[in-house]
Amino acid sequence: MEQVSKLSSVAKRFVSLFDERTDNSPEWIKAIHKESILSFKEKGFPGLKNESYKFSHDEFSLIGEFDSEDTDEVPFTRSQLLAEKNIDRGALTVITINGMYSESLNSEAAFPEGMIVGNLCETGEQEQKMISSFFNAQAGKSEDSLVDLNNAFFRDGLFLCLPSNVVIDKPICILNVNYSGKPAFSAQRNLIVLGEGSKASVLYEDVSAFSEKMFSDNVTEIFLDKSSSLDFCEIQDLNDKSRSVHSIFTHQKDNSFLQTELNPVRGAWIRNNLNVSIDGEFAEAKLYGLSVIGEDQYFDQYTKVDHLRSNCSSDQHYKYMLEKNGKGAFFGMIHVHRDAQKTNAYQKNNNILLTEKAVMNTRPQLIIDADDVKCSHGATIGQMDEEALFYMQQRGIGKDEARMLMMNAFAGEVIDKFKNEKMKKYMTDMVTRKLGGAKE
Amino acid sequence: MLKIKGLKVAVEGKEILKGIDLEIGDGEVHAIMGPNGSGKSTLSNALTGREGYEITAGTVSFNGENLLDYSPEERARMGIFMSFQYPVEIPGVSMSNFLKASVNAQREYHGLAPLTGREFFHLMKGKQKLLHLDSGLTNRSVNEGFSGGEKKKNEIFQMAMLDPSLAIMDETDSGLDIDALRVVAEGVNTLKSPHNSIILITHYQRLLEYIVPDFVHVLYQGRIVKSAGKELAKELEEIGYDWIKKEVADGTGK
Repeated sequence: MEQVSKLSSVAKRFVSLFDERTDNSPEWIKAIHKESILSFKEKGFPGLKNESYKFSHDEFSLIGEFDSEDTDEVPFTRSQLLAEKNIDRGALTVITINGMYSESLNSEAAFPEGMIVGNLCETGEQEQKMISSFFNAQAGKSEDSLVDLNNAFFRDGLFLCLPSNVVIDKPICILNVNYSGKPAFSAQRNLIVLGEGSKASVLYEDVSAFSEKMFSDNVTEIFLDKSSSLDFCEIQDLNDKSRSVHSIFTHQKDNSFLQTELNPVRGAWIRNNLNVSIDGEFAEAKLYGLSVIGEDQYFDQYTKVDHLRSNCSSDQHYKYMLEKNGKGAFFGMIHVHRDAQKTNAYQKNNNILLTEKAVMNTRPQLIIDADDVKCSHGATIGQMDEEALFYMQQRGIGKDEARMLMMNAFAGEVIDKFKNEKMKKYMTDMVTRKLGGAKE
Repeated sequence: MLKIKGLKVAVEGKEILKGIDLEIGDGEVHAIMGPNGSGKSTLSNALTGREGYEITAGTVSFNGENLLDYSPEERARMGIFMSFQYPVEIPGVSMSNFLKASVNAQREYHGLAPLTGREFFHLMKGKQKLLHLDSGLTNRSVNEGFSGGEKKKNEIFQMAMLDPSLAIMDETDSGLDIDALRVVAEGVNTLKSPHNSIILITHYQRLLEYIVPDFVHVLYQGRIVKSAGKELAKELEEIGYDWIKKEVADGTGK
């Protein structure tokens, strides 16, 4: 009880929500719940002294009132949900409701041979073995109290697995629908496992569907076995009142390849915590992100890359354009551990403030404990190049069009690195759509 | 074509141009010379409508229109082109996209349909051939990584694409070696016609050996203190600006 009294009032509300709930989960999950709420009680939400939330700790006090936890019941059909066109999803769409795989909403879908998809708690015996070795293996070690909160509340989650040597060429879209009829908290969970030699491209589309405001605390764990390859792209297009923290943990073995493309589009506060652990030789991670941050939006990217083995490479490039009173933060850390010789690790974060009210905080960091490495990091915060603007005007190009040409060029540098063609197109259009109405 | 009357321009509250009168007829080439800080670049910036150049008095009429009423892009579409002293690098914006936007903005202004990709390509190839320019430039981002000479040649190429009625060449010769200068000058001479006028803003007489002006004006302390034929440039080159400064100080100028 003493500990509880030190917590903020918002954190206390989560603790009482936990105390009031009936936990019908399987025993192994109940055990995680109990352990994790204790850990959360100890830490509370990240505060002023938490370096990785340095620019964002205020956000937790803004979560505001919510009545309850989310639900896995939604009054929509699969076709209704798919009709909400955002990005061209392609043919393979897995629908999850507040992070949970929905049997009824996916029954019509035909998934390719070799792809295992379902709820964590409802899979077969074979899968349970896999789940017990991978689930919470990375997230469980995290110091982040948002992960504790997730571990205290998640009820079930998505399990997506490609066993050894399954190659799926078409992108798999996971349409995650955030829905609640009243303000709610939602703990969401995903586990993605790629066996040796498997290959997939996953497009995670996080949306709000006719929902009240929500606070989503999402944890995704990704395991890439030897010589596997995953392209994980995400767009977050939530309603204007919703807040979301998505903590992604990736773990890579020898010769594996990972590319992430994390692109928040809409929401009051969207925080992505990307934790990349390169734990095999000759593995590669490419981590990209792009956003136009608009009115009353705060997009917040945290990336930590741990190079644990030799001969690996990582490349990060995040770009943000901020307009109106948009606010952004980037915290990037590369840690090259002692045994990670011959590492190539690069990190870039470039930002453009389009108005005087926009705010960007950026903090690139590098820790190198090995001696034979190539690393670089750099961050810039700039403004629209007025000289270039005038140059284009002098050639007859209107100011708005000139601005768009420059912003498309700025965004293009990251978009060109995207692998998913649908994401390329979507983000190119998004830049034009979000900045199209922007004037001084 | 262009009539400037009593033009006064201030920058950050400081008056730089103190009353300019200048008339430029169709097909004429006018050189504006003068020592550093005399206001040469201010004149070109004021004519093109750059922000921060405040017109405090005077009028500028361009083909009968009150030029000062128009935005920089409108002035450009009306046919005013400035070759920049320091052409700006625009990373990520390809030369061809930039030029297409530029040419089509001008066409739209004059009620013409935009060029198709094919038409645009042919126009571009034609102008490159006319000016003997390396076609590699158009595959790159605007001015990005261009040498000083390439940047100035690129300005002339843009001028060819836009076919302006008035071209203002702002210190086009600065930073050019003699070969690049010759290419640039030949380009300008090729584009010269009885309908197009040119203002050459230059510190040195060198450029004027290649592009021969009809008139030479000396700008000093924000005023045109001397106007004459092309021989004036030669004189200035030989004996410098000191005698003009002295004349102004003595009140014996003009």
